[in-house]
Parts: sequence; C-alpha cells; structure tokens
Amino acid sequence: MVKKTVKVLANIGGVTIKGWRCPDYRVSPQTLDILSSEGFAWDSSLLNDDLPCLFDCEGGKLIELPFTTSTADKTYVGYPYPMRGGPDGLANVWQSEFDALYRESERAPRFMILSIQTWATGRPANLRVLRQFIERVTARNDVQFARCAEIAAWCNGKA
Amino acid sequence: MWSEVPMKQDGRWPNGVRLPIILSVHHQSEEAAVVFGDGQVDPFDYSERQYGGRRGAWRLLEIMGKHNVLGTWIICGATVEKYPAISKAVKAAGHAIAGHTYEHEMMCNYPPEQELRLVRKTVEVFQDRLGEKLTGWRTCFASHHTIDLLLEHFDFDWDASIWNDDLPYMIEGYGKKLLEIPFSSYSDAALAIQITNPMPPTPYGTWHSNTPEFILRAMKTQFDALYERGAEKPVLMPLTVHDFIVGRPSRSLVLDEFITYAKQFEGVVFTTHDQVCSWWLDNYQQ
Repeated sequence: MVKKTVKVLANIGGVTIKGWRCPDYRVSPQTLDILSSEGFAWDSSLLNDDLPCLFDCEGGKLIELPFTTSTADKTYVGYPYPMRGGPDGLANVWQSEFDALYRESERAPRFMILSIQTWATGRPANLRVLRQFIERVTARNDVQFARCAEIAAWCNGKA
Repeated sequence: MWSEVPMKQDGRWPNGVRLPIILSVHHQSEEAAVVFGDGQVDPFDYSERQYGGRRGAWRLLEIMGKHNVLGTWIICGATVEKYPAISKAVKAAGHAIAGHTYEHEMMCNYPPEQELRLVRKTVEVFQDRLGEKLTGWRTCFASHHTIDLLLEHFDFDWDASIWNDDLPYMIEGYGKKLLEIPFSSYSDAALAIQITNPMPPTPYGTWHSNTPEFILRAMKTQFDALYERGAEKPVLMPLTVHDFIVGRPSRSLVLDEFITYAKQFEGVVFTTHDQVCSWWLDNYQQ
C-alpha cells in the first residue's frame, strides 16, 4: 500500500513523497520499518511527544514529527461536533495551543503542528478562523510556518 | 463488611480555610489504552495516552510548581515503573502520592482475589521504587469489594474512589477505620468525554475533548458555587486532571488560569488528601 501510494502520487501529482501520516494515526508494528526502507525521511503519526525524535529503523533513520489530535479541526467543526463550539471553539483551541507553546518556547524548543481537513476547515466560516489565526500569529516576527520536510531537515542538521 | 460511622457534627476546616481544593493529577501514562476485540492495543489511543507519561505529567508538575500549590498525584504502579523520574520529582516537590491500581484495571470487572493481588502489587511497587508507603488509594472504577479489601488487608488512611457525597465520611470495618474523601464528576476527562459514539474504541481521547474555554468555565462555575456555600457550610472541591488531557499544551492553560483565578479568593487553599484527612479527623466527633 505504501508503494502504491508513492506510485500514484508520482504518476498523477508528479511528486516524490518523503513523508507519511497513517490514517487515523494508527501505526502498525511494521509501519516505520516499511517507510524507512522505502526511502521516507519522516513520519507524523505518533501522538506521544512535543518534539521530534529520531527512530533507528530497518531501512535507516526516520524522523518522527509527533502530531496531536487535540487541535484537529474535525473535533470542533466536523459533524456532529459543532456542538463543541463550532468555528469559535476551533479558534479557541488553536489560539490556546499557540499561546501555551509560544510561552514555553522561551525556555525550550517548541513547534506547533496543526492539521486541517479540506472538508472541515474548507467550509467558509472555518476558513475565516484559519485566516484570522494565520494573520494573528504571523504578526509576530519570530514565528515561522514550515513544511514537515523542513523541520525534519533541521532535526537532521541539514538546514 | 464495613459500615459508615455517623457523625455527631460536621467536620470543620482550620480557621481561615474556607474552601480547600484537592487537585488530583491522574498520572497513568498509557495504562488505560483501549484494547480492540482481537486483543490488539489500539495504537492511536496508546500513543495519545503515552503523551501523558512522556510530556503531560511534566507540564502539570511545572504549572503546580509555578503557582506553588500542592495536590495529590494519583499514579498507576506500572507508570511508576516505566517513568520513575517523574514520580521521584513529584515526591521531591512535596505532593501527596496515592495508588491508582497497577495497570489502570477497571476493578469492577475483577473478582476479589484478583483485585487484592493487584492492590498489593501496586502498594509494593511504590514501596520498592519510590520508598513510598501509600496512605491513600483511588481505584479505577470501584468494585463492590474495594472498600472491604482496603480495610481488611491494608492500612490506608483514606480512599477517594467513591463519588456519592460532597464531604468526607468515616468508614469502619475489620477493626479499622478509613476516611472516604469523595471525588466529583467534574474532571477534565468527564468534560472531555465524547458526546456521541462514532468511534467506540476511543472513549476518552483528546480527540473528543471540549474546548479549553468550556472546560475552564465549568471549573470556575463549580468553584464559584462552592465558594459561596463555603461562607456558611463546610465545602470541599475535588478537581481531577489527567496527564494526557490537561497535560496537552492547549489544555494546560486551563489549569494555569484556574489556579490563578481561585487563588485570588480569601480562604482558598490548594491542598492534598492527606492534609484534608487530618483536618477532618481533628474535628470529627462520633
């Protein structure tokens, strides 16, 4: 399945993928070994840390960029969860996450990983939350939006 | 068999204490991870909860330290074995420590002899790994035998597993006594629990959590009501947080802000089950 996905994205999208996230964040005992053997640089399926870590796998080293479901858009705006606050709830949880990590980043390295789904944040009211969030945080000159591949490269000392 | 000892008068808190808050930090790491029907541990839930052991618990300890408040850390035996550094840091910071079963076993599903074995195993782990003689216990889902087992086979001062009252009460049996310090359903887990049931394998994940705003408001409302009542009657606020829920960055601000809020009020103290136990007993009359 990994090979098939790589092939489809290469054929249709014209991209060579180097990163992976398991559906529903459910990693099998073999996932990381398979990814490293297929030449992947990073995975982002685990939820157990604030910071990236390095795994020694069968196919070599693999960077893990831990993810969190606590800020996942579908939790607040996907059916039937708008009852948890809808767009306002989404704005609240993203801002809280950012504030906490920004505060902690004075003392320790931090990164924020935010996942959005086309079908959830893609709707107009939620898209506005995203735009306002981006505007608010980019107003600070020490916050940078980065790709997972860039963060993985920083971790490898290849920046 | 055990029975409740009737009180001649309510217990009282020392002069100047109007509302004691017992912050219970459930430090259980990945012990409660959901197991699928085929016996496989759900990798999502495992990873989600493991965060509590690896990072969340440290964050909570740091926040409590920043505000200089004490609480009771309710810890699983297996968590002490896997993450000894955090338990040692908790102990060094002066917090109370209580047992929370070995691997977060839901005791209501176990026969008494197995429950007894698990309580004993947990007590031994704390003794061996931390040099800590447990004085208190909070089980995970009490069975009908829990109180009997605690009284007959152990020397706990208090238990905090039952949620049938607002205030502590005395239990007697097997020639011993135990103070029950009830807890409330206003825990972060209860506030995070899923509203519907689309994914049965993950009943408690942060996936299902309400917003930080919502959780904070519920905590403050409960506090306001108790503080008001505390002008005339004895009140107690048990507040439970979990390492993998409020230990997440966005939810950690909830605890930070709640402590800041509550500390502004005169007569509010953040304290431990052990302290509350000794205060209540000082004023207890049979």
